[in-house]
Amino acid sequence: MMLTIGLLYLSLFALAARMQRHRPVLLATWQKRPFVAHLELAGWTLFGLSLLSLWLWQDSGMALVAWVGLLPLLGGVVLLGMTYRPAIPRAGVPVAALLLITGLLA
Amino acid sequence: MSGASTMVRDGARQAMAWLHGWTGLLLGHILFIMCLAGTLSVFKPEISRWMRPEISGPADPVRAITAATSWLSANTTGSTGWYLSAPDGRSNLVEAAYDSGGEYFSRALNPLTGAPLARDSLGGEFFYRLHFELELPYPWGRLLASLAAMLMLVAIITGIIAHKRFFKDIFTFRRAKGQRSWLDGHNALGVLSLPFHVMITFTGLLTLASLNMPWAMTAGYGQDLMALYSDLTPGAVTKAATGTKAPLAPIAPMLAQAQRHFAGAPVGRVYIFNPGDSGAVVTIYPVETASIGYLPAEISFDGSTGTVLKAWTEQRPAIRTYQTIYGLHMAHFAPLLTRWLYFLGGAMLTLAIASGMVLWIVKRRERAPLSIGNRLLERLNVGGLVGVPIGIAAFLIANRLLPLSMTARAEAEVSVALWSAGAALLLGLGLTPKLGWPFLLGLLSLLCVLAALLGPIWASDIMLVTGNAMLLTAAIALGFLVWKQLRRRSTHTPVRRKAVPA
Repeated sequence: MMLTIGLLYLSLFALAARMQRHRPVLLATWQKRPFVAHLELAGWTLFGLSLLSLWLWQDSGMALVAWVGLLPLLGGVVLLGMTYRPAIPRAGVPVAALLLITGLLA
Repeated sequence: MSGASTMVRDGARQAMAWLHGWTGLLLGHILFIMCLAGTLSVFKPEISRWMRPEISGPADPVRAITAATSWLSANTTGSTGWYLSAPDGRSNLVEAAYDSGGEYFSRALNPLTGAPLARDSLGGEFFYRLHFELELPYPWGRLLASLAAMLMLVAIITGIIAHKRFFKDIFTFRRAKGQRSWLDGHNALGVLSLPFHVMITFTGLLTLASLNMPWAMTAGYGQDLMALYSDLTPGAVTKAATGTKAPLAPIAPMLAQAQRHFAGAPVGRVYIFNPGDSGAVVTIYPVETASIGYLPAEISFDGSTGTVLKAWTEQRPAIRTYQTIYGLHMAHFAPLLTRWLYFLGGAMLTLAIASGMVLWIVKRRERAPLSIGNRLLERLNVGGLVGVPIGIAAFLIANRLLPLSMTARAEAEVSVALWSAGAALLLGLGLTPKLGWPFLLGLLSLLCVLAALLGPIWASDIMLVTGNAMLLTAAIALGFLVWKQLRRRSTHTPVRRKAVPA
């Protein structure tokens, strides 16, 4: 669960940050870093991995249903955060990374 | 890409956008009711608990069913059947449908005494029925709901094709920009939750497939519905009443045996046919939470002796597939987090419909003065999109205020909901939209506060506390919306046109 949430959030964040329009809001001072050019690939890879991680759940059918529900929840955090409080989606990145690591270790 | 193919593509997109708009508009208000009621139905047992605050805490299903059958044995005459739903982790009483003396009853029974609760209410069942029956007589409500769901599926598919920048728009919301903001909001609501929207619409359509596509059944069975029924449920035991009176055998051992047969799954429903007769049959079904696809299984006992008549578990792949589709829509399998995600998806679909209806008007108003039809639609939007939630809030308030001794109390609660929604619709039609939106939204906010404050505000039952918290949150959000509307209006200064030199 934690692994899927972490991967999905990071994928959505990367996919949003790859867009020129959202880059200043989401990446702030990191806009000029070299990794920015690879955000699209990273975003889609993480997105795919979040789907693959469903196999690790006890019941992958139920996991897929939960994933379908997590998509608007986490996407909503990124979207509304970008619009109203850019610090929130940015703060979500370390939290998601932590969830990902915890999920991998668990 | 050649110019011709670009023209064809753009022409196709325009055609899809046209179809998307009209399919959404045609039954948009019906879809709004269906989606709002469906979203609330995700928490049907919890809403029922909020509406029956006298019973708190969990209930033991075996004890509750035993108490219910004892009470029904002593207090019903000439029954043909008792249909009982056992309490589980979410519901804490027995939902019973039964007949007595030629009259039909649908009541919630106390899990300890088995007697009907004084607070007669449909509870969450009202939202569940409203979702696909729309308070219309059979089969018209279901047919209308089917038609609306079909249009919804068309609207979703055409919306996807019409969308030029599908992925870009997932993350785009430009606030305070009039039509642009409404479009961004509508797109984001639709696209972010698209997999859920497709799933819930498709599975919803299939749950009513036997009604809207009956030809396969009639081709195979003609008018012989009993043959169809017996093929669908080969585990069913049908026995005619003998006319010889016989007391019901103790039910607890039957429930224990059933639970063993269901590999430990708790008992979900208990149907007792011909109770008090020597031809009585007790049929027990398991709960529906073990997997997405509800596993049809049943075990039937001779009601007068308690011996097993038949035990059956569904194995046919086609029926298991249908049950999975049905289960996906009903979400009975869903643990707490998934239920909230269903609620979120449903709320986003409801808001996507509402924003689409508003967008239709906003788009046209920015181009030219509204036609009479669109002006009527604008007012219908005010009355309908706020009137339906007002009806729901009134339903909850009626649950707290109507006297417990009132006859047909449950029906009266529904009447209050329908009359309130109707009155709000008329108000929306009568007031100008500039006045109608803040007035009705403000009224809705007050009704939410009232519904939360009328009952036990702080109780030991978490369902009551959560329900009240949700109502108060909705009230605060609505109040904020009204305040923003009023503030914008008061600070709004008309744009001064640039003087053009003569």
